Amino acid sequence: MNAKGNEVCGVLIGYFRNDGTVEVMEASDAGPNAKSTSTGCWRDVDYVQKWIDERLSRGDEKLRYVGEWHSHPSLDTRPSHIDVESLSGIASSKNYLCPTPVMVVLGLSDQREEKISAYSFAIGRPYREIEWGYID
Amino acid sequence: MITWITLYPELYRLERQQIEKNYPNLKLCTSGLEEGILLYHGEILVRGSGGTKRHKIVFTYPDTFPYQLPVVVPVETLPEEEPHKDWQVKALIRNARHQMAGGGLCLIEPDPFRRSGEIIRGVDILRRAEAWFFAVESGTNPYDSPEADIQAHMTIAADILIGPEFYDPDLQVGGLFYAGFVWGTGELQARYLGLAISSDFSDLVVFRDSRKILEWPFPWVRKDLWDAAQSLSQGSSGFNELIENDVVIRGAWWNLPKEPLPPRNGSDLLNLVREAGYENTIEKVLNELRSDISKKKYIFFAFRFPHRDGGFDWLFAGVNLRGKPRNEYLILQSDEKRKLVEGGGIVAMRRHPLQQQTLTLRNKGRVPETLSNKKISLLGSGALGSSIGDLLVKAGSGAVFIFDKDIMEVGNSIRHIAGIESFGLPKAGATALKLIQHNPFSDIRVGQDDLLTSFEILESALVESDLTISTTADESVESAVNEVATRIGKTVYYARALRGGASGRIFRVIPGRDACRYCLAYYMRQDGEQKELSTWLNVPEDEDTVLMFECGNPIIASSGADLSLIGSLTVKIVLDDIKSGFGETNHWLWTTEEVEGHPALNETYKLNGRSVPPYKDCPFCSDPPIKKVYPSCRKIIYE
Repeated sequence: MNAKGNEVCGVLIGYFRNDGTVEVMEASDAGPNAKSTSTGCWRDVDYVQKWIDERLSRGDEKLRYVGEWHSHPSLDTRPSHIDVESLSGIASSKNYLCPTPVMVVLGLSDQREEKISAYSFAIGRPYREIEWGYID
Repeated sequence: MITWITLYPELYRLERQQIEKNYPNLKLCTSGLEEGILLYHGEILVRGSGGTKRHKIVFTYPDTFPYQLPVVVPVETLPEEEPHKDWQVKALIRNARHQMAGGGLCLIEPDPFRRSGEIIRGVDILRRAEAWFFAVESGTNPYDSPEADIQAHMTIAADILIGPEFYDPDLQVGGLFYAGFVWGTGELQARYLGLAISSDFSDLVVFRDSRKILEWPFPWVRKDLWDAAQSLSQGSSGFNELIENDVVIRGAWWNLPKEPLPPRNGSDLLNLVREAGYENTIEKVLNELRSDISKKKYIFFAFRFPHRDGGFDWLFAGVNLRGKPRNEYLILQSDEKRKLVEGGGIVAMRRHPLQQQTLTLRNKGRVPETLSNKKISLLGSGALGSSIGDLLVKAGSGAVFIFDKDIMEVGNSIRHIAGIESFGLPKAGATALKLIQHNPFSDIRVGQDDLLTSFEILESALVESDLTISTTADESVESAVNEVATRIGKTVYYARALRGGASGRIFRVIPGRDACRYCLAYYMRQDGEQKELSTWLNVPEDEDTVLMFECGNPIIASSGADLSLIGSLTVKIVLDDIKSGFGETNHWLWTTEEVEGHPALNETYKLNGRSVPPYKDCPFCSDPPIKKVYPSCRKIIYE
């Protein structure tokens, strides 16, 4: 959450592995012109596009846009219908070239407790909560 | 009159021969034989350390021998000569176990594993009787089996149900108990509920109320009974009217250090209290129960003692003070009260313990013990669902959550576990009330929402339970259940009657391991390589099936017997799965009528099971394309 208690968000870049896992290498912020409220976050599209382009042009051909992340102002990390609509749209969009995006939701309570959940999206099937874990 | 003597003359001849050869001191009763009864009276000789002793007995063969066993009754006197039409058998009652209230000795207990056709002969009974006399004389009278408890040796005049509170080890020394009249006809031929108990004689007075467990199974019992017990224990006189009218009875109880011998009168009861070291409490009790002693026909005492298998057991007794209750109070001195009690004959109240371990005793070894920790959601509580719920709580399920949006119609009662008394009640609630009566220790909750109102409602119906059984037989509901359950990783069994109940289908869906509803629908449409599976899964509907509508709901005619069978099979499959760790088989078909052309249902009364794997590209239950996300470090998430 940002200082005003509003949601924050961004995109994720990393690698789709052959074993059906995704390794996230970097996460962007929402950008200077992002809109943010206590119930939603709309990233600065131009800023984020530049952020992705800059990283994908460094010569690592396997590096991809892999999905999105955002925060929730509670420990309820279930995706909202806006989240689902957004990620399903990305999965089916030709612009993103990403038919299986993931979404990471970071829930933060008033008592500073935290919970992280991850979800997999794909065309023609309901989203599914999946495991997540750090690489040591 | 047809008796064993006329039916089995050879057996009669053999019995007489054996008895008269081995027991020459027993005389054939010709008066009895004239009436068609084989009966002996006389003495049996028992050798002990103090020499041989003679014991007078009457030995009678019942009309239905050998299915019923001959009875030995110790008697005070023997007839002097035949015929002796006026002679009355006067039983000699000993303060000992194995002697019933009428004087007959209980010498051989029923053995369900006895070889078929094996006969216990009269001489076998008499040899046991000799052993009993020897044991009584030498003070070694053995205990009988745990099932033949102390009250079996006394005259039973009433029944009392007691909940787990009466077994609380925190209740020390003794005190008062309260019981409420539930139902009965005639004097003391009544049933009582143990309402509450307190340890008033202990330094630490503990009060335990049985309302929590017993109120729900007895919804027709007056609410004020429960309030009365608490109020009376606090010394209030607000409910004295209930005591006056015997709607609530109260009595004194004590903890005994060991199981007593069967008491035969009030004096025996007070001796038990003295022997336990509680002489000082007798005066208190006589004072506390003074109004009952001065006016009522009976006062009540109870004893708690160590059970042979651990824990506690109870003996409840009523002391008969007078022929009929008095209308007016009688002022009695302390010694007069004591004499009245000591001189009274006693009757027992058959105690019915309601404890979780005794309630599920009959399931021991036959249902998985882990079931008591299992929470099971039941979607649909119609004829099939209610039968399944009933069997689940009888098996000892820890919790059953029942969901059904429908109301009980009178017509439902012909197949449902709830009867016409439940008309107009929500089906879920009507089912719950029946389930609670079978096992009040199961946590039973109900939901009346339409499960399709929202996915949140549907998810909440599944999320708390370990597994779900759906009997809704509604395509839309079951498809939605399938989607939600596979998404949140919950196991669901689907049970459905087919062909008007003549056939049944049960399948299990462990997400990712078993074919889900979507997979099955996919397989059923397939040809080619999947043709064999498709044919097996497709059970054609019977053209003769009768479809009716009631309040817009479709009703397929089928009998309660058909649905109970499918319900029983469903529960048995679930229990076996829990016990065995959920095996490979996940789809079962059953029929009581041959289904022509079907590869499995061409044989009746055979449960056909097979394993159906998930369809690899199933959008609901197959693995998502991405199974795990690895942020390369915590920094990515938190920066």
